[in-house]
Amino acid sequence: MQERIYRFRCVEGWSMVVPWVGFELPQLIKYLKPLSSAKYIRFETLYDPDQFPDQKRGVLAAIEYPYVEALRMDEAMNPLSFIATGLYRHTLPPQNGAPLRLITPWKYGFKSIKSIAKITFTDTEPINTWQKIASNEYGFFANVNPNVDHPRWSQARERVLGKFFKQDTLMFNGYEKEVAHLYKGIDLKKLF
Amino acid sequence: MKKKLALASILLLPFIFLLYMLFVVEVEDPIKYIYTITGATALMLLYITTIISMLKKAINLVKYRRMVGLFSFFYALLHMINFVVLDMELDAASVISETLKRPFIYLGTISFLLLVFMSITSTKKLFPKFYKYHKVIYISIILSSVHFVMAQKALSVEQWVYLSIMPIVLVFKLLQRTKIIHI
Ligand code: HEM
Repeated sequence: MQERIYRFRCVEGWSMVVPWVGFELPQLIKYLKPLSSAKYIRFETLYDPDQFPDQKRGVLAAIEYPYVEALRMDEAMNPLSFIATGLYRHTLPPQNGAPLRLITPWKYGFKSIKSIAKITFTDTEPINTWQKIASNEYGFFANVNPNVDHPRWSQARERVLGKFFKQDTLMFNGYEKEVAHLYKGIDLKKLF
Repeated sequence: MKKKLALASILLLPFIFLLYMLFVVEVEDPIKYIYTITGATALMLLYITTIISMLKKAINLVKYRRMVGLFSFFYALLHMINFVVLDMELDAASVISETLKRPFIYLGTISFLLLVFMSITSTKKLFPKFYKYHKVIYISIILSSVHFVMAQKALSVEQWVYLSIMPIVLVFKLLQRTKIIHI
């Protein structure tokens, strides 16, 4: 286990810095030994209406369950990709995604799927929960990008939690050096 | 007079609560919090204003209607100031470009301008001439509701509540106008 202090940027415009505890996702993948034909890794949140109040609401729930998120294999194998088991040096509380939560700090917060109950390797691109709800608003990558606005609001700046004033949002949330090579030749305005 | 003062104090409670949450409790996302409290209060007070009109034959509270409406404007004004001062940081260019570019912002702005119009024409002198145009309050309610729904990623239970009051008020008003119900 190690501690990782990452920026966290929500697609709705707030941000904070979080000290996570956990291990690198590549370590887990090496342990799981996926077939070389695997192109994507797909995660699913636990479905248990007794524990997740919104899942109990059935058709009135805010979104469809179980929650699904996925990464391309090369994204998942990036050393920044992290599985959190804790934060602030404590075990993850249930509402923060216990027992296992994905953290990809260069992507919007909704990528960081909580309470992972199932991991699948696949060769076809999975459809993520928010992508399914509104594919014109939430793309597969969901990389933090101040130059590509959400269709309904700007992504150029962010509200740092605990502060009255906003700050500029950085390309890939400030992790450009580590991850920009993953998207070489890709038009991030189209594949946002 | 005393009653009006009491009412004004009650209508100020959300504002005092907001200050308390901002400066004593120190909520973590102040800009968002100001939007929520001022926006939801402004909308609720618009509903109450229309409900006072609708029930005036049953319980006549019309003498308080103007004050409730003006307080709605007051909260909408705080909401707008939050946008210009804290969210856009007084940058006139972004205020204008965001307003023109984002449908939810210009719908909110139109709604706000309707409130400005009603506030200005609510004086003793002007109201007799303009009261028939104060029906735009229903347009303001509809625009504000579309506005806040569009500002969200997904709706929370509280947001569903303030949204669901709208059709009730509108249908009630329609039934009353078409004389299907007599209250
Ligand atoms: C000058 C015009 C207006 C502007 C620029 C404006 C701006 C905004 C913005 C930017 C948000 C989104 C906050 C966020 O979620 O990040 C918002 C939310 C909201 N606005 Fe407005 N608005 C305006 C007028 C109004 C009016 C007139 C009303 C009601 C009478 C209203 C009611 C609301 C409500 C209820 C929300 C949702 C708050 C929440 O649930 O968090 N707005 N507004």
